[in-house]
Amino acid sequence: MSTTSIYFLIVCLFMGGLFIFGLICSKKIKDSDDWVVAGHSLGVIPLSGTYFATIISATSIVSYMGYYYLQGWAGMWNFAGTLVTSFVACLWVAKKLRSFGMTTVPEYIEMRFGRTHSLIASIIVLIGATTLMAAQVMASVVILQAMVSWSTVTCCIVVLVIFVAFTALGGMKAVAWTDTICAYVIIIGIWAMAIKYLGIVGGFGGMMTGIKAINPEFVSAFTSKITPVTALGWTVTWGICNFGAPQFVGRFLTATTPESAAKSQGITAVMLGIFYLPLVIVGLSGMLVLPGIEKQDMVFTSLVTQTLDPVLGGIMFAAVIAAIISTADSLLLLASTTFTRDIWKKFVNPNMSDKTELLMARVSTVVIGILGVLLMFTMNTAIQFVQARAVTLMGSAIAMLVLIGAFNKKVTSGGAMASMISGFITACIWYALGQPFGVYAALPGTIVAAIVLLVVSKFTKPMSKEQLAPFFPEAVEK
Amino acid sequence: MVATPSLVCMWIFYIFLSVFPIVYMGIKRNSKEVENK
Repeated sequence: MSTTSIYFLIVCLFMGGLFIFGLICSKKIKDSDDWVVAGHSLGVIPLSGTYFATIISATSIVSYMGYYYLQGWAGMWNFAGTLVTSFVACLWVAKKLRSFGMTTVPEYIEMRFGRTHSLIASIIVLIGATTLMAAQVMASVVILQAMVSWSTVTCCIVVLVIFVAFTALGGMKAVAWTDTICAYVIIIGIWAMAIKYLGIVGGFGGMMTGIKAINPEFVSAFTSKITPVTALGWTVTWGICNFGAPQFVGRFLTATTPESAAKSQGITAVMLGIFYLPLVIVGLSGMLVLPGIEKQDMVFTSLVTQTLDPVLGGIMFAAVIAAIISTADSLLLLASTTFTRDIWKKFVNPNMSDKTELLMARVSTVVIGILGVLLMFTMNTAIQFVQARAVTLMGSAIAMLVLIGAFNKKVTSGGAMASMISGFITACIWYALGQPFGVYAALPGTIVAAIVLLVVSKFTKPMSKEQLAPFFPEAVEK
Repeated sequence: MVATPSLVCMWIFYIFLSVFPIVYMGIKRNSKEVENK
């Protein structure tokens, strides 16, 4: 049996297993709440698993491994923001958001600020989630084509059938549990590779000495390319911006209790540490095991195909497919939920029965899944623009409404509207200017959104006690 | 030692970010249980 056949067999077994698992979960779905938020039944383990697997995409494995290979330890700053998000969510945000009892982020925005805000947020989320999902499907096609000589269309159909079917049938429960399985496959795969490489290079000490000999900057926290300012920018930017991405924040809302929402973020922070440490080790020791790779995106494939035995290589490919599917299914679920619950049910057919809502959610999952991939085939500049910047644009528009709006009762409806628009436009302008001074668009986007939110709220009509009561019961009573 | 002081500080920072939330929650829960008793 050839090496690529073994890779393919392992990936097929893994994907088939996910498909069957999704079908089993679908039998427990009784109503739309079961489908959208798993009936608020998700405990700490599936909750941390799904959050982790959603935030870890193919980029997190393939590109980051290459980045560490080329930049040394300093490259590790690129995930500090992700850890900061979990840190802040665990200690403050997750518990607070879950205590409001909403099921989606646009629903929170509607209850807190108004229907128009919710509609704008829903449209931004729908477009962002659909294009991001399509990008994940295309990434999986690239991985599959490294193993089999299928056409792009065939690979798309295979991947779509598997993850669209289990998302449509099983909803959040299937997504959360398949994501959890994916999370452990990812972590086991990376650790197996890291342990093997450490054995080759003579342990951690051997790795450190070896990479220092290649470039002394590789054993420092900062380099000429990655300065303290760059590191701080990454940490703050993504630490804040992730709060505007409902595929992450929405997970808090599915927890059984506010406490389990917070606890799951604490466990996620540990899982992120357990994942990134071996990833960095693989990237760094990879410099010694297989030196001379110049392209960042080639590092993963070169290391896996040239230095690992076929079974471990197959597990690594399965780990990347797991990262892709677990991100794509969450985005698809988010897009279909946003369309059905936050747009159609609220603005078109408020009297829709629960049974119709569930059916519509499932049908829209299939339609959005197909539509997203069709968009990729008719790729134009506008779609590419949104796709590459979706998290930043969503973050610039929504993050401050979550981070400040949930804690500050003085934030008004007018302030929130001005904040969403100004944050979104600032990020677009910053991109149009080519991201001057090397500053990511998310940073000016979120700073402007925060300032506008607070300033405009000061000069606009305060929210009524009735509007504030669900969010600040103690303050309203006083 | 091969690692520079800045790298050691970075490791400590990452360990803090990864571990502190769950440790803090554990301590908080324990102190609540003690209060309830």
